[in-house]
Amino acid sequence: MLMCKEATRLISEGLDRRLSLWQRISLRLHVMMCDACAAYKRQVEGIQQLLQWRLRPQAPDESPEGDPLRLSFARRQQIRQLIRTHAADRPD
Amino acid sequence: MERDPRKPASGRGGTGAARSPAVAQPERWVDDHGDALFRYALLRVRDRATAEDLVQETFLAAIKAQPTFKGDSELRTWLIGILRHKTIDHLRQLGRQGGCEQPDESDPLIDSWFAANGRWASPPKQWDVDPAQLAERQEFWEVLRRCLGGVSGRAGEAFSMRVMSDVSADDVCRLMDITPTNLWVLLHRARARLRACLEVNWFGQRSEEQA
Repeated sequence: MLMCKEATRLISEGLDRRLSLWQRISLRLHVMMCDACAAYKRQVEGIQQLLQWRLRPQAPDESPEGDPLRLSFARRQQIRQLIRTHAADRPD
Repeated sequence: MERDPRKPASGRGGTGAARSPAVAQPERWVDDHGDALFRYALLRVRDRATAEDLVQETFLAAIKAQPTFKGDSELRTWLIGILRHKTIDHLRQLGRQGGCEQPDESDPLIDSWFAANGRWASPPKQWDVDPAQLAERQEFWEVLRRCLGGVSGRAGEAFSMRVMSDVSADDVCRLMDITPTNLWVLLHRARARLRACLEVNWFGQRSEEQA
């Protein structure tokens, strides 16, 4: 019988790999009977989806300035310039 | 509708394989990988300016080392590997060590949420993630960034690399020198902490306000 502690571990692991058939069945049965683990599963999976949506690749001009999870516009320009200079210096 | 992710070609295939175009075009590195590197550094050092400095140093080091890049790993993995060393050095100078907790030992925090029989001792509150409501709310992302910064040690590092910077699971294992089973355990610990932190600092408060 799967207990809540093990169920939470499988809920996370299910985001990282395909669980075995037996693991999937026992997790599904447990979540059907356990409101707390059902909430945990919705929450952890919801956070994961939200992050994946938020971190989707975007063109630099699409990201708003002041985004706490992206390089600032000024720094991006600065690094681009540095790379251009150093790449030009390097003999190929 | 999805924008082309412009991932670099894998470049696998051993010596003599043609170098993938993305590797040969360093001017595209910042657009392709800058944000991913920045997020990794930000969650490790928790300071925006320092994280940007580390990313800049990483790109400069990569430009100099580029002729030695054999293309036997993804470009992003190679860059994250350089950044990881710079971040570890930086944290060491501050006297902050990376965590050394072992994935095969039990986790005291997670243990404290459960009774000895494996049932919840402090169950999660009932709340749901509503992407439509949260996506555009900058305060939420600020709380989330703080919660992520609070996931310390190797769990935090694994989560930063795998989820925040989208490095493949195989490459995370190689860079951190851990097994896939270790990685799943570390990611579970990170997600459990992130969920609990968001419950306390965002969702729990909101549901009480509504009640």
